[in-house]
Amino acid sequence: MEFEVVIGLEVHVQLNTKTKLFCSCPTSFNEKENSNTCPTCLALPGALPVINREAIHKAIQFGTAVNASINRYSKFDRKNYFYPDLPSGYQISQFYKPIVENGYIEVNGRKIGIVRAHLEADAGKNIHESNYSKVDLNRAGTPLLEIVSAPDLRSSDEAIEYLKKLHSIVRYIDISDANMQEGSFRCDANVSIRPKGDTKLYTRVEIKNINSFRFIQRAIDYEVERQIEAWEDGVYEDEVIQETRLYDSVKNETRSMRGKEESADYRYFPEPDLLEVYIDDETLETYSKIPELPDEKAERFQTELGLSEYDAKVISSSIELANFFEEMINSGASVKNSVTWLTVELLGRLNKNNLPITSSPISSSKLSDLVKAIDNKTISGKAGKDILDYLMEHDISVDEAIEKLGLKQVNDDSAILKLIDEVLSKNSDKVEEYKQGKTKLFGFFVGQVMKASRGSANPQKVNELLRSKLS
Amino acid sequence: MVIDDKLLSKLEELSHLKVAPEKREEIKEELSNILNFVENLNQLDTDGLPDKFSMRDTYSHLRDDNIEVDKNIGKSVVENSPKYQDSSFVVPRIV
Repeated sequence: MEFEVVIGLEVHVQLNTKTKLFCSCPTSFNEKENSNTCPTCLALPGALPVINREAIHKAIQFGTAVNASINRYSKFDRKNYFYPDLPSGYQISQFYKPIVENGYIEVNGRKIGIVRAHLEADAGKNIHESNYSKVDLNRAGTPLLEIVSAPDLRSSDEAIEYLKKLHSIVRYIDISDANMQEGSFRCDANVSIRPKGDTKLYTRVEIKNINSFRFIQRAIDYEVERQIEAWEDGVYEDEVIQETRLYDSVKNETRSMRGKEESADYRYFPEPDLLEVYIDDETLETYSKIPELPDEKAERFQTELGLSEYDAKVISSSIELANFFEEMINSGASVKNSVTWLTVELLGRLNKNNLPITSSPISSSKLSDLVKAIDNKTISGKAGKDILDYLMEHDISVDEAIEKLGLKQVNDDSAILKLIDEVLSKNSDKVEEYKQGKTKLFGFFVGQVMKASRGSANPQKVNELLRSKLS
Repeated sequence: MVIDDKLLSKLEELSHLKVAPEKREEIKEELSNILNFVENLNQLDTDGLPDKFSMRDTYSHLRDDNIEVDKNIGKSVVENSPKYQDSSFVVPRIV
């Protein structure tokens, strides 16, 4: 039997506000345990939550970016459960009336629905020791936007494309650092299968604890495989139950997390400490203005700068890369060479060293200088690669590197002619053979001249001058 | 609504509270009474009225995103907790 995979994703994005959602404690990372806390986020009796306006603004921006409706009235609710990293015994979230509803993003030409996005407070962190656990509540109360997709995704590949798009969007509109390692962009996946052609939804399994794109893909693939196997073995009803499973990246498997589903009864009810949130016209208008999004940028790169669809997509995939590219163009580097030197040469070198563009040892202005030197033929493309290698290791200017490596391209006719004369006189026997018709020796002469110039002669010039010299 | 043994057991589990055997009958009755009291509200005809979560006609006050923190608060709360280590709370092992 052929199966169809049905995936829905829940993404928790940590908003990059300065303070927490319901109190003025900072949201900064890597601080001394429990130092960013106050009576509100420690849930001391009597302390009351007050909503951070900036979190509302960022939710509006997100809703706009994903073509969603922004609810002018939204409301917070309590989600009740016990865990040591949740001092109040409930999480303040939005269950009945989320701030954002009914949006979508386009992934490879398909519309993927975004059912809702709601604001909620993050929990603290547990650090597990051998026979006890430590609790740090610095993160408790940090604003999260939980983004829930429709069950529209049909493969793990598509799920990853969706996530990358979402990641790119939240970075473009600058509502989150979206750093997966630090946990500011986290994903849970709801996975089910059904016989191809069937339209009903079967039992979904929720997979938690996946903190990289690669692991999300593997976790989904594993889970799909497990469910199909259970179906084919006739034990689907017994083995695939609605539950939460944890992904173990070491063993590459998912396993059941909660034994008793009883504890998942969250008893949501309206948060009595907060009134409804109302978004007025002015706020809505101000925060509905968002910067250019990845798709728009890619489109503009194609129409205005003539980039190929592929290059435009690669460069616009991250805001940092797109900015880097635009800075190069704005400082006068040619479009064609900028594309190649950024996407092939620089990114290739960064990937080899596992460096993101934000940690590139070569700034956009430096790469732009290099490209301009190639544009105006001060150096050859080949020399450019050597210089780029050198600049990866040494923090000097492009001019200094050209000087230091002696790679200034020689365009001066007399200097090249001098080299040609040397080469020809050293190889008079070959010149004779050439003149008698062994014309393929031409390449040999070019090579010798280039070698004598240590690669710095302009190869086009060498060709031209050599040809006239030998005719 | 009547609270029976089964429901009381579930409530115990959800609230992490244990009701002593000799108290069960009393608690069941009290909880049932509370629910019956609240059910009085159902006598009101609310058809056609918009959903309201509050009786007040105002909205949540919003706060500006400015940091204000007193680093001693967390410290003193930790030091007043039953068990702590350095600046972390210590609880029984969770996983």
